[in-house]
Amino acid sequence: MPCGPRRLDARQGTDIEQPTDDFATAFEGAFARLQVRVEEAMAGEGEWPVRIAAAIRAGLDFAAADPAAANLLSNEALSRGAAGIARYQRLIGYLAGLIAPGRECAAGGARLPEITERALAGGVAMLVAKRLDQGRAAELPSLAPEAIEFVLTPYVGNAEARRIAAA
Amino acid sequence: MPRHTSISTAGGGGALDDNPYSSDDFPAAFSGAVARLQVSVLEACRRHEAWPEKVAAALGAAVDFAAREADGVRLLTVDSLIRRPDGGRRYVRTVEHFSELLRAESPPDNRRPRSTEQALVGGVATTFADHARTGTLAELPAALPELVEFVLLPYVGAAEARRWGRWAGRQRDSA
Repeated sequence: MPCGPRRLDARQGTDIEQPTDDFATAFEGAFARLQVRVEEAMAGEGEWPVRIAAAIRAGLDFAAADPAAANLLSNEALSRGAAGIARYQRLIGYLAGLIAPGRECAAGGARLPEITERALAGGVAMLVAKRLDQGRAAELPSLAPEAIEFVLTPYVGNAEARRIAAA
Repeated sequence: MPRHTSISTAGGGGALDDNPYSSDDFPAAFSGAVARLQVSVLEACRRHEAWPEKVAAALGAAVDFAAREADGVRLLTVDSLIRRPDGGRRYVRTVEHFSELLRAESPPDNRRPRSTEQALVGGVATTFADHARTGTLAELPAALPELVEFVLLPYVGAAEARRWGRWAGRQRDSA
């Protein structure tokens, strides 16, 4: 079933070097907690669009509930030079990997631009990072409908993306 | 580790090791790079009437700028985020600025939630940053059709966005 339930590999995106300093340790802990929340949400019932919508809501709820961890994963990582950027890139790659199965849902999914998933993940991450930097983490859950619509549109079209985002 | 570690001293390899800007130079260098990018984009847009053509032309100007001014693009998309909080805020303001340009030009009947343009421009910036970090900005012009398709898709649908992406590629090839 192209868009049916699919179990995630819990180790996806986690094959990295061991933490070597306080930042690395804190980043890996925050990343692991985010992964648990996101993957629990994605393990629910429904086809991929519904499950990725649940994952986006879970990710935004995580950031609102633990803005320090979310800031570590985004703004702080990007400010830490090469080591931080490498970790941030891994986070974006992980999120892009969650989105990629959407290609199986799209009629022309295989023909979507190669950059699509990383650009979608990077775009949503930018929206989150901006609010964290401005001390507006509490607003993040209310961003969910727009973020879901943004991520789903390339795969299911505007109308279906809007319908799922509003559900 | 110092909070404001320069990317040039961060111990990374390759493209991350070669930052030409000191802390004192950063604000002026950032503003200058934004201004030059903005002029390139606006001049490219002015030569077109149809909205999708303007978007394609703007992205074409941006990738040309990236290929021409690798240091400037690296400053805008990578170094700025290291120089928090000032650099990060400049980065966000720049994304918002180009988001507003995109929103202002989009047809009213195709309007999306305001965060759409910010996420689209943020996504494009992510692609530029990926290339800046790997020292492959010169290859970015080849990605123009994909960038055009990515940005137009929410407004015009997949098939039409793909058509405009191919159009942008042909325009580039014939220029």
